Amino acid sequence: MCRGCLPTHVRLLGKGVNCPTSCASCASNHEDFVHVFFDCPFSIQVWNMTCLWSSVQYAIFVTDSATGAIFHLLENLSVELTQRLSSVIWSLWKHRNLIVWKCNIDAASSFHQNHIMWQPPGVGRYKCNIDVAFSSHTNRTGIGICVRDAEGTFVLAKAFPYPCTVPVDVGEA
Amino acid sequence: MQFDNVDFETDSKVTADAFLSSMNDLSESGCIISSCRSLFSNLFSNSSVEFVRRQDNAVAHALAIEVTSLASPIVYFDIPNCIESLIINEML
Repeated sequence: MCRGCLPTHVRLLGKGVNCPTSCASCASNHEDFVHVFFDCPFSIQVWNMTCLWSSVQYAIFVTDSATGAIFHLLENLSVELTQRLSSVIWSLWKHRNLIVWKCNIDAASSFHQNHIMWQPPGVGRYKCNIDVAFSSHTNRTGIGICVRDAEGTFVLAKAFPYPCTVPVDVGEA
Repeated sequence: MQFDNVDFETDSKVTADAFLSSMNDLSESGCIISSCRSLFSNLFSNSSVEFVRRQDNAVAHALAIEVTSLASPIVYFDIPNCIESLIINEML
């Protein structure tokens, strides 16, 4: 992406491919790299929804190219936000490709995937979540087990510590 | 002792897949898995084991982190502090 390899319509035209240069999501007639990710009203809406637009705007303002802005963001955002940034950029390009190739506009819903949460079990059932954590600092392993009912109400929890660290597959088992 | 209708969830794909496959594996984790399998089939009816994403398993993870600093095993009959807010969030 930062090497300018993405086949946007403007770039294809530059390579001699005869195609329209219109944007897939809006009325603009100049679909280049900067437009797809930072100028298109659809992308701006997505950046706003993911709470990244102000950082993106600032990065574009202090750097002279889209590539520079992306590197600026990667260097300055927290780990969680850089992960979000990469998934948003990936989703924007995926969304654009779905429209161009499959005329599919439902892809916008894929942006909301980061709202994954625990789901309660069916009525009358119990759900038991199990996980293990390792602390290399104290050389200990912990196993956590939590049982909840269909309303999500706490029923019982159990926790075991082990005074050693074990391979991840053994611990999870 | 017999329990019914329990859904077990783990965020370890390897463990869930190993548990659900019928292959016998002689490694250390494989032996633990096969004893889990026999316990499960003896003690639990109408129950399941499945893989979930890490985000769905936050409560168990918080508990596991908490317990690495404890000295002995513990059973909680009331919500422990470390996971109280997570549980309340997930009830919403």
